Amino acid sequence: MDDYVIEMRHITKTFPGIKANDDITLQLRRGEIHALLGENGAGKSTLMSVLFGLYQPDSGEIFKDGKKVNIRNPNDANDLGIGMVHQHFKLVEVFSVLDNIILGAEDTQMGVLKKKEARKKVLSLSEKYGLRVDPDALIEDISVGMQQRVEILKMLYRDNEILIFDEPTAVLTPQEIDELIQIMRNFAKEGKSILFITHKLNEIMAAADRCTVLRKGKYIGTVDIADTSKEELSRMMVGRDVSFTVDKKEPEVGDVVLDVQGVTVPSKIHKKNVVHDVSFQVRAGEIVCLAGIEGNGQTQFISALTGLDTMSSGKILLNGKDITHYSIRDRAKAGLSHIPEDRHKHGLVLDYTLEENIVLQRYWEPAFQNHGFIKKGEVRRYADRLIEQYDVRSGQGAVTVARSMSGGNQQKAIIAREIDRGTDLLVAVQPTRGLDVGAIEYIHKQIISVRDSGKAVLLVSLELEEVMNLSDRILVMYEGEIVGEFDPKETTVQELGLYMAGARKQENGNVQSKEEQDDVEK
Amino acid sequence: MLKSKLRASGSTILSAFFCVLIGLAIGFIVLVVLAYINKNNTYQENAAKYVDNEYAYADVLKADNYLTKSGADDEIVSVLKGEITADQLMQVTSYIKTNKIKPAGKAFTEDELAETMAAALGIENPDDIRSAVPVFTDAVRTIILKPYEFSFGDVLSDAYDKGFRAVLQGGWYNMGDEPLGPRSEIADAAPLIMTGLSVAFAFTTGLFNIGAAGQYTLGAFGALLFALVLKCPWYVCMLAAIVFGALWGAIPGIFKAYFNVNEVITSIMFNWIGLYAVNTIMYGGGNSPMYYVKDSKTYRLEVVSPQSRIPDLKATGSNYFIQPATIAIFFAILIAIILWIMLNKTTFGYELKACGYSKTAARYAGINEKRNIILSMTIAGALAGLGGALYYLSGSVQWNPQDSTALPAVGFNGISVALLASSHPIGSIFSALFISHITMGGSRMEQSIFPKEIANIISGVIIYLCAFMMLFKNRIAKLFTGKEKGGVK
Ligand SMILES: Nc1ncnc2c1ncn2[C@@H]1O[C@H](COP(=O)(O)OP(=O)(O)OP(=O)(O)O)[C@@H](O)[C@H]1O
Ligand SMILES: [Mg+2]
Repeated sequence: MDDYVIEMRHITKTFPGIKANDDITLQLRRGEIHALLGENGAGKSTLMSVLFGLYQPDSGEIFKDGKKVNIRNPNDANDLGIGMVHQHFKLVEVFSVLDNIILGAEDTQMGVLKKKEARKKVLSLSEKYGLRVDPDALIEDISVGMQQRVEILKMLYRDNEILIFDEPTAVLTPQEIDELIQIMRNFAKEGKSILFITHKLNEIMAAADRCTVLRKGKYIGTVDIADTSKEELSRMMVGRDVSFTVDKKEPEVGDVVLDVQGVTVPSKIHKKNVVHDVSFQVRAGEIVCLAGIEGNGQTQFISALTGLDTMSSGKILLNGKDITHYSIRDRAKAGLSHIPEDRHKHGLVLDYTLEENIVLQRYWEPAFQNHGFIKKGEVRRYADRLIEQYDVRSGQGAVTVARSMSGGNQQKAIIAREIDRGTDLLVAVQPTRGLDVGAIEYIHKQIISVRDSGKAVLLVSLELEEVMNLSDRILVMYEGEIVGEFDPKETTVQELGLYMAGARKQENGNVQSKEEQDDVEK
Repeated sequence: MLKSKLRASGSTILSAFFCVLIGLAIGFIVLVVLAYINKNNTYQENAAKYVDNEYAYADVLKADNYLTKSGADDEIVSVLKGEITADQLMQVTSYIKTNKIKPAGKAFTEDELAETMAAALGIENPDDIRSAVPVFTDAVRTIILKPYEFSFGDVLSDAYDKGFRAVLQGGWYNMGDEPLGPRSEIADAAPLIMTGLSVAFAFTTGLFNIGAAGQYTLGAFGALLFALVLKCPWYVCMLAAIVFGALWGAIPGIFKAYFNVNEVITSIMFNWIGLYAVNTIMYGGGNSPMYYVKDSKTYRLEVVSPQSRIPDLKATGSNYFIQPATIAIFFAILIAIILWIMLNKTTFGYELKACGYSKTAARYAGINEKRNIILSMTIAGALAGLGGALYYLSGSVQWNPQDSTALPAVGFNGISVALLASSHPIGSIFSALFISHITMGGSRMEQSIFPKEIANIISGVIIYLCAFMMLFKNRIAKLFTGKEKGGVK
């Protein structure tokens, strides 16, 4: 008999309009890394939420170490040693990193927090597993990558031994992903058992021991990674073959659409500039990618470009018009659409329905309103079209509340909305974050067809594979500056990596290594 | 689609109905407890008068009255235990009565009582009768306390007759229990609907307008200023109230939008600033043109400026049902409908709600959230301000600038109205009617036994229950159907 630390048997969970889990069985061995794979909306997060006590299953049983357990809430789960990093982090924005980690598991002495000890424990954990965090920074000020590390530390701080990672790598850079996989391996070696959700088959092949595949709420099968391949996994998941490379023709480059001149953005935390004197152009019919390791000013630059934040100097021209001082709405009208990095913070009004979110950037257009009255019929028709076209899956279609949709489907809704506006410039930040391979294939095709229809695309992506596949030009950003420009056909992932890490820098077309550069400065 | 929507709202209404029933039941239980306390207190108070052998002459007289009227009954005879007979008891009390042995209110000592009893019964030595003295006092005590004895049934009937009935009847009857119909309740509900809408509207846009009371006060001031001083017609006065209320709402909005000061804090402060400013101006040291010294209140509207009164509802014939109510209620209902349309059908409402749900996403969508905060506080203020006009331009109410040290309760009841309606504009009409019903009923209860705030307890309980229902919606649905709702198509 196998040594199962967790067994979920015949779990069924129904939401209005959809069976999210339909008789699913999942067996987790002690000390293994068990991947959970499935399309967007297949029911992975739901299944994990059942294990973590967030949802009660309609039927089915859960066993821990062979004993039947009843997990009514996350506290029960925690008592059983089950911890979870959610797909959308659950952190208190205005609390510090340290406070977030100890929240709910505070050690106190006569009612007073023992913060010193807590800090020591957190720092030693972060040291031991290489999870870099700044304990005193506020969550709202730190990057998503660091937020993720905070979530992991939260589990470790509680001495959990069954760790659920719901799409942890979606927000990480390739280097960080390697680190995380190493960390997970260490956990497994220590006897911790790991449930790992991801859409990236490479990661599953690299990290997992076994993999369970779900499709549309149903259990498809569990395979040993040693006996399987990427292709077989994706076939199990989608039910057809998926191509991992993108076909595209040569770009037909036209006029300059976006002209960025010396944009500088001051930091909110320290005195330095987070974006320093950035200039580049994007022409019609090309996809320009802003690559770089997360936290090198891409987020702030995009905020300045899209008007979410202000910049201290520089100029932005769109189709030759100076839009530097335009409001967000005016930029939208001038022809800018924006797939934001944080879909919950910016991309969606989570309590609005899907259709209301689909017109979030267009409700004011004459097509959707008449003298200030929203044309509900038009909105419904339009939403239904996009839902169909982009295969946005949800329980109740256009009237589903966005909050209840699966992460990937939320993302698809945003992409559909922004691409379909057909503006001259599409700014896409991590557009395929959290999408399954089938969806990524489709979205990549869409982005390329945007380019082919003569629009300009500015892509920000942390994923080098996507960068290499999609872009016509690559700009590497390091510490708020553009340190190099590349043609994806003439460069390698390794070379890009060096620039992204700041080891090299191009100066007016000359390549310098960091050492030489330092010499020059002296 | 429509069917499922209907079913959903049907189940919400059903569960709200349950909340109301449970709330009323809890209210009734409170009334029963209070009625019991009251009965028991009276009994104990009377019982406490009898300290050992001392009891007042007056009580003996009472006992005598009782005995002469109904004769000594079994119970008293059993108390007498053969020491003295029932006849003798009567003999003693009537002796004390006819000879006026003691001045009223004075008590007997044991010796005096023994002497008196001996004299009354023709016994020579008072010591012979001394052992019967406690028996006599016990008997008198039983007689005196008899009317104060009560059963649980008495408590229930007290709780119902003197309290709960009034709550149920609300404002449909006047203090003298004459039927009025819904007219006074409707008149009372109109301003409450407005403050309720004010709070509900702000809620939907993500703001907590606790300043409805102040905006209402300012609105009342604006209305009275234009009515009493400028003698404008009623609709102009109403407009003035809207402007004044809007101004008072806008200020916290501006603070919130530009300085990120929480609107709760500013609007609480502006409640008091508004109240005292209005009182000071209206009183003006007694010389204000609005202040009528003789009434020590503002001038009477119907005397000074009848054209400023909101017209009465002239029902055809003598329709007693709605007759003396003004048309104010129609304004309130109309505005509720307009608000509902605005919030659900227009781009403006779409923007406001988006801001309420997620400021960051609204910003991303190009919505000017600063402008929207100010606008929605302004509108909330205008609504509450109009509420002030609807009240002070109706009927014969006068503002008392010297006595009004408390903020108008209508302002805060608006919060209950909004909560009960879960911020739905149309729902606010009904919840305002309901709250005004039980509040008016509350003040018609017998005040010596039941404080009128019980009405607030009832509405508070109902609001809590409704909130609970929301939390446990699924579980409750399970309870009713045995299964979770929804399911596969
Ligand atoms: N709280 C909820 N209320 C209603 N429906 C829900 C809720 N949570 C999930 N669903 C629905 O259940 C289905 C499965 O969602 P789930 O989040 O488990 O998908 P997932 O496999 O994690 O997808 P993704 O890869 O996109 O994150 C989706 O269709 C979603 O719309
Ligand atoms: Mg998910």
